[in-house]
Amino acid sequence: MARILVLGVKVPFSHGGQDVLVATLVKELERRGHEADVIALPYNPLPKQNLVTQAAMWRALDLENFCGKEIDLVIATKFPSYYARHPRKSVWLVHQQRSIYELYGTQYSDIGDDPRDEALRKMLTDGDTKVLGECAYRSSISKNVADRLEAFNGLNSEVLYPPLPLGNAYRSEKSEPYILSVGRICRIKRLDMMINALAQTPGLHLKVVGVPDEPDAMEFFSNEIRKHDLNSRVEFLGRVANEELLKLYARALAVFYAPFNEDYGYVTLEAMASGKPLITACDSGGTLEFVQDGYNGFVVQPTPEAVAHVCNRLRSDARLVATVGTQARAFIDQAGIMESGWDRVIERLLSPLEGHKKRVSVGA
Amino acid sequence: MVESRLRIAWFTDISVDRPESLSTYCSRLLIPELLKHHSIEIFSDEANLVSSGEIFGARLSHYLKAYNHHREAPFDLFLYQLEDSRACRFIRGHIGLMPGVVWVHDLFCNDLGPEACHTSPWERTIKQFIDPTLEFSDRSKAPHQLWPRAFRETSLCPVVLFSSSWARNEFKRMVSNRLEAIDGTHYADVLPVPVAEAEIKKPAHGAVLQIASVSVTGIEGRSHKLLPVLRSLKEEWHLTWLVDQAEKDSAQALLNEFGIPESRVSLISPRSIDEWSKVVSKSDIALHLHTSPFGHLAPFIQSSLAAGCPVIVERSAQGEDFPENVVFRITPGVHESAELRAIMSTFQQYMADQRREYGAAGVAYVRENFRIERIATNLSNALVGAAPHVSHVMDRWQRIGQRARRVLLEEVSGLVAPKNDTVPSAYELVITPALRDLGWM
Repeated sequence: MARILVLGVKVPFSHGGQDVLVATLVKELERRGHEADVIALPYNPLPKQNLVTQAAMWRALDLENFCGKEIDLVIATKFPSYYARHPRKSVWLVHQQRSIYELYGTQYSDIGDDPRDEALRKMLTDGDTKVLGECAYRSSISKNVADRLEAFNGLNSEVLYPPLPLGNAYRSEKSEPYILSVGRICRIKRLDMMINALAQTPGLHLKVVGVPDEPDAMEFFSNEIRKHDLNSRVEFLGRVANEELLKLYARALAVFYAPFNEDYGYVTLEAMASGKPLITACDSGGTLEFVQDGYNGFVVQPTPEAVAHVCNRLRSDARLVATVGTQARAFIDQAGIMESGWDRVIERLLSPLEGHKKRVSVGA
Repeated sequence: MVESRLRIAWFTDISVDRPESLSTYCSRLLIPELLKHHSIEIFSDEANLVSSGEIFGARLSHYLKAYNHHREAPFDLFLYQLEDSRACRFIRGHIGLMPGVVWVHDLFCNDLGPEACHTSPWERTIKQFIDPTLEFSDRSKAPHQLWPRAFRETSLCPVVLFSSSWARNEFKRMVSNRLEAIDGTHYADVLPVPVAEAEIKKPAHGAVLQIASVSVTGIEGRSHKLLPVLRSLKEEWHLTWLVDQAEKDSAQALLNEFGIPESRVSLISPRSIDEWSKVVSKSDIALHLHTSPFGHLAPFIQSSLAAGCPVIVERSAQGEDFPENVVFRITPGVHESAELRAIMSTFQQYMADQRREYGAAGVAYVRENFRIERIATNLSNALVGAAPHVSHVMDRWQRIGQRARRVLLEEVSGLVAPKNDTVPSAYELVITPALRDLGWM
């Protein structure tokens, strides 16, 4: 059995997919008899110069030995955790600092053409290539993330889809007239698209699970709601307990999840596992690795009109909801990303221990 | 062509899943020709296409990898095709990251460009280029964005090329006098859009005046002038109107509004050069009515002329580019309809074969001025001539980049701990060794 550190990145007062991934990974490692723990440094990307400091702080950590206990393996997840040094560094890449890569030049990036910003972009790109290049094993949580790593840093990685966090607990119940949105509340998740669509879908409600993690995000969405007089039809639920979340999925008419160029998106798979049609957009990235338009979900243009059109179709056609939902669930059952998928994920993440096994077993 | 092999970083929009853009069109025609004499790597932001690795016979890479490729094997110059479209936003952004030669297809743009440009301290950067001792801008203050269009995109370019002489003149009038950074070596020239030779056919229906039009449905497309004129014509006519797919409904609405029967109009999409070539090859007259400084007539108008089709343009913007003997020109305003009606009526009086004689001057003009080989040679010569100036600008630019890196690290140091002369700071103890290890210091 090995002593393993999972390297997470903690944004205080926020809870996203990476937090879930780190927590479930540690749990699954422990279930298999490994000694596992989490190292998480607080992450603050503002001001943007802080990105250098944050990367350097991870780089400065000595993770080989703690209080006489040798660490056999570290598993890094997202920027900047993979800057940590260790002779057996495995990475399960959630994402890099996207504002210097594919989000550069979009409204979702604060990196401009100031020569200092360009210096920052070049440093971090070079840094990523160096520190990810030194990993003993590289994997990514989706093809989308793996493709970016290949495109921008010339590094390959194996795709390991994270198994669903609540395993086999997802279920489907009779649909109620609401659309469910799950995830951090921020601009890139494009909740405003759903809110604006709601104005064109009479009788339908929207339930939002998640907390804001951007300054002024709630104010922006509240304005959108007020503008369309939707106060009585939109409900912000904040963070909810797992059982409550399962119930919300189970009873939703459909699930809306259309971020811009998402890395992976647990929500996609949770919706499908709950037998619910997922509404996503054609530029939503990782979600498109699973959703086939009209078969196990809906892929629309990223406009409120297109989202509203699908919502209205679903509202008036219960058979369509059931058919697409059933096909979504069948897809998940066949895809190997339910609870059973953990065996392969952990086997691959621990592969740098192969040559180290002898010492590990003696140590244990 | 001048025999001096250059290594060129060619930034262009490569259209995928949409009608071919002007940038793609020019690249498709010119790059194979230029590759005979130069080495070219194309940079695009089309992720799907970039994965294929090659296009038009040249290597294709994502634009954010350009600096890496430049570091591994330096380019002699960066060439940017500048067009007013969302697809070209990445090019506008990158011009701010690395100076080069800009080929301006659209002088006027609908917006300030990508987000990266909105907060651009460009005026300050230009001043720093002139005086390297100046401090960087204060990050807490939003920079002013009051420069004329294309000032930012052209202000560090030793050579600016324009696909329209009208745009070049406008540029000189409005922008050029503000360009102080290049020490007087700034140079603006016209490089028209090339066109392939077309087969010249006779119109299929001699008795019916075949009219081809390519335009937008907004007021600048002049449909509100054209359609009433057509309705008033006494003889037989048929209009083939090439519009963007997204504008098809509004085009139909205009036809309905002006009472044009469906039988007399063919609405065709997409608004691509391939479709236009087919349309114009069997038309008696081609209308390129456009009165806005935004947008361009190329490459459609060149294609009409190459096909020997007589052309009507507006006395406005790029319509001014073509000499009097190859186009019929009308003046926007109160007499516009009357002028248009007069030309149409005149054409209706001639048999198809005679109408074609009007196109002969256009064919000769195109052969002399827009041949692919000729445009490629001119571009090659311009680039070879620009290379020493670009090299000089790039050297100075690199020094700004090095200084920016030092200043960035000072900012980082300031975030970690305030300066203390007696005790080593956390920055010195923890961060500095890590930065050295990463090769950032």
